[in-house]
Amino acid sequence: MTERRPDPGADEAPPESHPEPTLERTPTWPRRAAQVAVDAAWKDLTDTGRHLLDTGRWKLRGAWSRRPSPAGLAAWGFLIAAALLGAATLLLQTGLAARLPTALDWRAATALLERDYRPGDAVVVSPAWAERARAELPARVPVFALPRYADEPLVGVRRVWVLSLPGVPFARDRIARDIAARASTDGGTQRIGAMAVTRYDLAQPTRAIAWLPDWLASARAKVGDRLCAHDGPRAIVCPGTPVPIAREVREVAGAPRPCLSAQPGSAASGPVSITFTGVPFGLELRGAAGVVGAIPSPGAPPIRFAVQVDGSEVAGLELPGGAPVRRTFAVRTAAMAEEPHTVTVVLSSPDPAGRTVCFDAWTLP
Amino acid sequence: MTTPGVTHFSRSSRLLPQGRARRAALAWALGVAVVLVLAGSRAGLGEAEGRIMEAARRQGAWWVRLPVKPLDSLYAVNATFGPEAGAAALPIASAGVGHALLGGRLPGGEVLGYRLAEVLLAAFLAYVLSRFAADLSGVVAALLAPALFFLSPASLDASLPAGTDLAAAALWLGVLLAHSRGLRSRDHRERIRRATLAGLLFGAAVATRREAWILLPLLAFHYLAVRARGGIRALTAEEEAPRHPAGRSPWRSLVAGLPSSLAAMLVLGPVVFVALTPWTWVDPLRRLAPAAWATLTAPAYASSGGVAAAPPWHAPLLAALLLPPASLTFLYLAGLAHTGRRLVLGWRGEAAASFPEELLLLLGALAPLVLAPLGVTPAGAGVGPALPALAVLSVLGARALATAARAAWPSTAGKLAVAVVLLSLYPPLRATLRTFPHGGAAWGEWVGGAPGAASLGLPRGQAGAGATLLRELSERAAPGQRLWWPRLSPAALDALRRDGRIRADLRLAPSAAEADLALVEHDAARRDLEFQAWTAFETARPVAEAALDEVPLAAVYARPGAWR
Repeated sequence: MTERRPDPGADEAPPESHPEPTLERTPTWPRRAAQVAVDAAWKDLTDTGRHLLDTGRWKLRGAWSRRPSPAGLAAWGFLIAAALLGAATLLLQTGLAARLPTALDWRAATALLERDYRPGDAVVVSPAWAERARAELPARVPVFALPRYADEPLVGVRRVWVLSLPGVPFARDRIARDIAARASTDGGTQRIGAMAVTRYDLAQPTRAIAWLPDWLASARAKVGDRLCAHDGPRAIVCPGTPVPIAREVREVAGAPRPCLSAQPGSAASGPVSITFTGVPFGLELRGAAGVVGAIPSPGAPPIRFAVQVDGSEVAGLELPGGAPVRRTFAVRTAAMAEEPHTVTVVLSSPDPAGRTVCFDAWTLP
Repeated sequence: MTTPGVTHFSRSSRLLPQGRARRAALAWALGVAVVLVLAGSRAGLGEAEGRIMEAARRQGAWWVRLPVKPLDSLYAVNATFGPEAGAAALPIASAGVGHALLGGRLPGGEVLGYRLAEVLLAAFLAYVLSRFAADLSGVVAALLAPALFFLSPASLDASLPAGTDLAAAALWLGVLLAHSRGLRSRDHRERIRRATLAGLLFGAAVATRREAWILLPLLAFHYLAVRARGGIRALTAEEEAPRHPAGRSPWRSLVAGLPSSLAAMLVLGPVVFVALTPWTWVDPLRRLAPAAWATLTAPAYASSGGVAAAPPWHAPLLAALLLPPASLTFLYLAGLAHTGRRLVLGWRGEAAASFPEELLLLLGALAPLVLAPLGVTPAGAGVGPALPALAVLSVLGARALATAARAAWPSTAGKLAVAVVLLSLYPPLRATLRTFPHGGAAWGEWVGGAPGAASLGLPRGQAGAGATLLRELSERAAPGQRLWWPRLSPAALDALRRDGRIRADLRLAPSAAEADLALVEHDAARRDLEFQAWTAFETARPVAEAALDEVPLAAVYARPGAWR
């Protein structure tokens, strides 16, 4: 700061002033030095800040002017997405192996069933496609691989081992729920690697008094009025019919069914009838029938499947010509339970069109 | 003595084609051919291929005899050529000629003989894929496009057997490339050359799969759309002005502007079709309808626990979308979106995008995907019906990737593309190697692979998995056993036996009841055959199984004592 002095060239004398006496004293030199230092530092700081701001603003402006075009950004986005998806795909591929059972897991499951299997036990695989169980599990253990079990009779099965692969993508537990709904107790779930094994005791196991496919060796068959002849214990050959009546495992509506297979009689030949004599009866007669094979035969007339007991029809099903279906029947037979009866199955169609019917029936106590 | 300043190429380098893109295409073609020949001996052999082999055995000898004894051959046309189920003339004729030339002359060459034409067509497809991509986006795309197609397990699986699908894809893309180059060319002679090529390939395509006829109306629509767009929007400076004089009637100018390839397809297509289809020489009218119907024959389709005579309309789309590995599907879709965007830009005239080119590419990619659900394409469970679309999508995906790398980082576009490609294409490569020879059943990661697809009720999709069990069968079957292999044609069984893949002492049985061993495939549409083996052998326990990620594909059943 500088002290203001009167202008020497001025004509008029300055008005007389009476300055108030001040108590401020001239700062001491250390204070002055500190003030100078602070001022210098502040100036330096503001200069530097201003420089930094200017530089930053200039750099930002440059960067903004050099920013990628929308097309460039889209390209970057696409490349990053492709790379990320590639990495994710690889992770999914490698992760899948850990969710599937190993050979060791299968051996452990085999050992478990070897140890705990009892007659009347069956293994149900979940999901239904996991049929490797047939090859891996002990030969004496029956394996079921059906999509649902709510309405399955499971004839002769008392305990069910549900062998599931819970880690498989899109695995559902509806098979286990179907079985659990029919069980009285479950033996707890054992994890064997990527597999889970749960044993269920069925509350009301289906124990048949007589299962008709087992009675084929003593059955009689006719086409119209013409008698058929036995060809061993498991087949009956009828005149004019290319396919014998046989005890087989056939595909009905996408599932394997042990049954009796026969071609229905036509309008010209008369119906095919198969008669089983001396069949013991209980409270109920049950059964099912369906057209064999995979390919639907649209336009073909329906097949009539009828069950007669001592000559009277007690059940009748119509098997349509479209996609193959399996139809079931149930007849209360309490009034007939005292003595054996004759059961006749009658198959007829105006035009069988080469179709084969797979049927079974059983009596329950 | 050498002249200064003149570069002297060695003899071998003179044999190589000029240009990196052309060399890349040639390298891809050779590589694909070698891989397919090597992989063929381990690949499956399905019912459809067996049918082609059966017909090819009959027809191959006829084609070889034709130049030697033309009159005798003409008399034998009716006896030799029937309405062949599931296949058209060219695949059968080419398989037959390949077998007649190679079968029996090469150790293990019986099946390879039938598949020789397929190998050559796959090499041709690789070449066309690469050249098409090079035309669109340079050498990086040329290197990528064949990888995008052949690194999908399902596409590679469809390339191995003698059949119609790969040939249809190769010829579809070949017609599009020839037409596209013809449109771009300013040289009249080159345009004529391209047009002739398009016409010949179109005829071969129609003789391969009937739906290829759609190419003609498709390209006509393309021409009309481009003309209409030219009328709606003013032509830019770079676009070619109409060559017809002013004052000519609109109809005459429309006809005068018709691309020469369209005219060539109209003329040469039927000629090639008739030349490759000898029954048209003697009895065209009576046999046309049965033959056309027979080519659409397909095996039953099983999914979601049900079986149908024909696939549902969405099956080809699901297969095209979900069978390839997820990263490949993403690139296909990105390629499609990129082309759609360029089409809009080309319409507006805002960028270097060419409206006619983009429209052609989009039509070429989408038409097969529209035809397959409509039932025009032969039905099938796998990726086959949509294979021509996947070929075009591979080109589009490669272009999108190469373009993005250039746009994102122009100075190091190549390196960037390589880095992204490594991440994107390594999973498909891994899947292809890991799932071979069951690539047809290797569903993509969107549905959790083969196990996830099976849980969702999607079809297994792997035809011919039984053949992959032949090595184990030969090693472990007891001597002199009778083998039942349902639905495989005698020609296919004979070829496998001659190649040594079926042991010489094993006899073939006509039914399960007369057999000691049964080889059946787990395709749900034919489970009844498998259950017949259960009945005959009184067991449901297979002695050997082919599976992919726990999903069974084929099994061997044996009577007690028939398996060691």
